[in-house]
Amino acid sequence: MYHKIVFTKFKENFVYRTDVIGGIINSFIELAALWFVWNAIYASSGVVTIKGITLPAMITYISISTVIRIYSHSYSEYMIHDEVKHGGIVVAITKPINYIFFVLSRELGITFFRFMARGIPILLVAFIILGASLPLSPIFFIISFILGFFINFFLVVLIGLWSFWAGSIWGLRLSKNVISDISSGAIFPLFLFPQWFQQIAYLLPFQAIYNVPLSIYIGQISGFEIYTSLLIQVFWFFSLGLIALIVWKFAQRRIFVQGG
Amino acid sequence: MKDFFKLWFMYMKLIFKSWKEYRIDFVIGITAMFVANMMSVVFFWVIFENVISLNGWSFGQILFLSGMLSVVSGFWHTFLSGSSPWRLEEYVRRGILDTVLLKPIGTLRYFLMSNIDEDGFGELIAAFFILITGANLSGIIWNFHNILLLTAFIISGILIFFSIITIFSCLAFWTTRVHSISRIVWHFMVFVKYPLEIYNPAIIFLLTFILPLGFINYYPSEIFLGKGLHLQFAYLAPIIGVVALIISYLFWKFSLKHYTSTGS
Repeated sequence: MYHKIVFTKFKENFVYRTDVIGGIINSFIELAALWFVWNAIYASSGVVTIKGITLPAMITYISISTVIRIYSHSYSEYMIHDEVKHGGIVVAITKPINYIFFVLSRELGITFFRFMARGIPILLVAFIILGASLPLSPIFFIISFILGFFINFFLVVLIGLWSFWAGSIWGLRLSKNVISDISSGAIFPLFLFPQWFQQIAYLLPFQAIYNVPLSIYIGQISGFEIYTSLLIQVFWFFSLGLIALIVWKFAQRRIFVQGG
Repeated sequence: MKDFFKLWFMYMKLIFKSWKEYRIDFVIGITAMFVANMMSVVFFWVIFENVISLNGWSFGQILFLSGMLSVVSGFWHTFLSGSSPWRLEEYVRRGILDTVLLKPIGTLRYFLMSNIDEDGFGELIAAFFILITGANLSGIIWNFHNILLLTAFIISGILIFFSIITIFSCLAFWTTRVHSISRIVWHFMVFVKYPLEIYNPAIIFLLTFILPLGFINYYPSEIFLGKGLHLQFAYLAPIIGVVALIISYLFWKFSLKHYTSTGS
């Protein structure tokens, strides 16, 4: 049943052609600006590596980071917010499906579509024109990438469900994005930050979305370290998933209190 | 004009009243925007911790450059974002525009005045902090001449920023889905956070002559820092600002005439 939701949501996106084109162009602009910046930094500083990272590795890093950004900077929190505020959630929970899994299926459908429409063009440009390279351990990268998707998803759900207790989720979502942008390694590789900052960032779930898959991809971490990093991701996967389900349980009670 | 300011102050009073009502949202919004904008400082700080230079620009100079952009966009966000694509798209789709058209006041003026956005204050505070820190680190002297010049450039930057966005917003009058197309302009702003000279000539040309975002901060900042491409270009900024404003206003009126209601 859920796979039908995934497929429907996937198909739905074909209607919004301008959104797709806009999305592709936006991703390219972001990537292009960073490409020029890093080229300028390496060229004008006259160095071959920065903290052991060469320019091609850095280009690879920002390219793949742009791909991860496709799902991590979605507006799915607002979809949940809308359903809570405008009553759509009542329709959703009367169906014989779990709302969280419904949202997950929807998210998967949208994400598959975006990867196809936006991710593949980005990757082609990155590999052919910008000179990005293939992952050093592809299987570990894919596992880590998928775990990252789920960790991000549970955070999205938690922020969306916050609508049950607050009038607006705008501030919370922005705060999360700010902390995430800085501590996840999304814009800037974590290993370039001072040591004390890295230690704080490693305690947060956001680095499991960007830093772990990206570090595996470019070979910044290898061997045993890969396993410990994946383990951290698994930890966040289960704990955030559990919290999301618990919060959903409490949220359901609030629906009854308000009478729908 | 007198009526305009009278109305504007009445709207400001109303908005202050609504802030008092939603105090927590107000504080969260401002704080989040402040922190979000301070991000770029951290970003540049980390770059310069590791790197010797970004095309010969120092930490302070880059802060000055991006600070100027933030002041402009912060001011726009707070006071002029009423004509932003996403607002306009919603007004058209929900049919709010139809009721506004019946009001005895210019449509553009109405949108600007009724949409003063308090979250922009957080952005503005961060922006001035970045700009002033950048200026001090780059050794810019705060004399009368410099302050006057900087104010003039910021005003022309605001005009350019506002005009470009308004022109793109006008697309909402022609087609109902403009959100993602107009977000492209938004993303082009990313380019002018860094010195233009690091880009390919085609992009420099684009950001100078076609989408003159370079005149918001890059060319003006060269006057203070004494470096970069085409130093004399900066003085074109006020002219471009005024011309862009006239074009955007005319285009707004023209598009509004072509507007046919969605009927909802």
